[in-house]
Amino acid sequence: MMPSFFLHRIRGFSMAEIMVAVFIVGLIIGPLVLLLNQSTQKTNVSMYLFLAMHYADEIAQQLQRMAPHFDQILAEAKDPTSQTTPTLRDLLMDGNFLNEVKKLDNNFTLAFFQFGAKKLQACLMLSPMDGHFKTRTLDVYPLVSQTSSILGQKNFWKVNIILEWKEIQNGPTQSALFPIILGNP
Amino acid sequence: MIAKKRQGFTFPEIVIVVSLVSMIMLTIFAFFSSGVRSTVKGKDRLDSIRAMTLLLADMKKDIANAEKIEAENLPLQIGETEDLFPDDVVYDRKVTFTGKDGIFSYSQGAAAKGESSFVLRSGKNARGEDVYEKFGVPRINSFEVLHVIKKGKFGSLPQDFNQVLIKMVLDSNDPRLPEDKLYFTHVLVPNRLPGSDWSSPAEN
Repeated sequence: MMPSFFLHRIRGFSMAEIMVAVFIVGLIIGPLVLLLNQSTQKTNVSMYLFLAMHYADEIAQQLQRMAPHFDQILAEAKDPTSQTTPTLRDLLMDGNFLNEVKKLDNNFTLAFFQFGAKKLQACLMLSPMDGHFKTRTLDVYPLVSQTSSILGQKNFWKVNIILEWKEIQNGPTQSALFPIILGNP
Repeated sequence: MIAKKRQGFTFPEIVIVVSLVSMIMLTIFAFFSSGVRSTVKGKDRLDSIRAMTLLLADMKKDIANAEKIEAENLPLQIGETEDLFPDDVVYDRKVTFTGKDGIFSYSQGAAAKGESSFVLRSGKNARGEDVYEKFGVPRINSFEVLHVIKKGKFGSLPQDFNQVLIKMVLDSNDPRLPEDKLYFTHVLVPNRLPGSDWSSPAEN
């Protein structure tokens, strides 16, 4: 004689049973899909972070090589009729200069240092960025040092090189910030 | 009663069940398939970027120590008054850096017909030993370099801003992603070029 459990089973599954089964299967598969998507997302973030790092590095290298000459560049920027001497922040945060740094082009570009409307002789060579990148900009802060006598009475500046990109056209904007320290005598 | 219940499933029941299972399986498969494809593509691109990073690290080191830069053509000179990078520039396929650490050339290496190739770093180090290294095997689709001298001034001091521009196209290494290419450009600056170094005024 067949046990009563099987007798009951032969009648088929109730709606509630099916719902519970589907819910359990969903519980198992849902996190798996989520995990896969997260892994993909992280891979893409790493990829764009790597590219951002290279774009920032070329700016950092050029700025660091110019650092010993910032005084000469600032002297050129100074208006002879004015008493005010521009600072490195004024130079790097100049609107016209930043517009050139931000410019998205398919070819290499020259971003000339500018102060006010005056274009200076020194410039940065910038490479074209991958199409997903939307912005390349700088932000400069003065660093107040208590040990300026040890550091040779220099003025120190923290320059943040900021890059922004979108992985997908209508997706959220991602960004990375690469700080460097510059000193000018 | 038991005999009656053991009739089995009817054909419509089986069709409905198979349809439902197929729909569920297709949805799950679509999710996984797109997820796996994105992961594979991302991983492949990361591998390309890693290959490029390794190459750039060596180039950066060699250009930093270079006292002489030679390419197939003369350097592109951009005058003091020019403020645009020319569009119609012919890039070089090979560049050689000579410095205290040795002589090192970078060029696109030949590979078997129909295959992607690599960047070859070859030359002699300071001890006179031959150097022969391959980068990005077999991902390098194209490798172009350009030595640029931008004439300018630091204040009133004439200055030659030397830089080496790199343009690379990297192919995917995965046969499932035949059209996936990574375009990459970079600017490298030298440290020790006499007379035209960024740190010392040009001799003119």
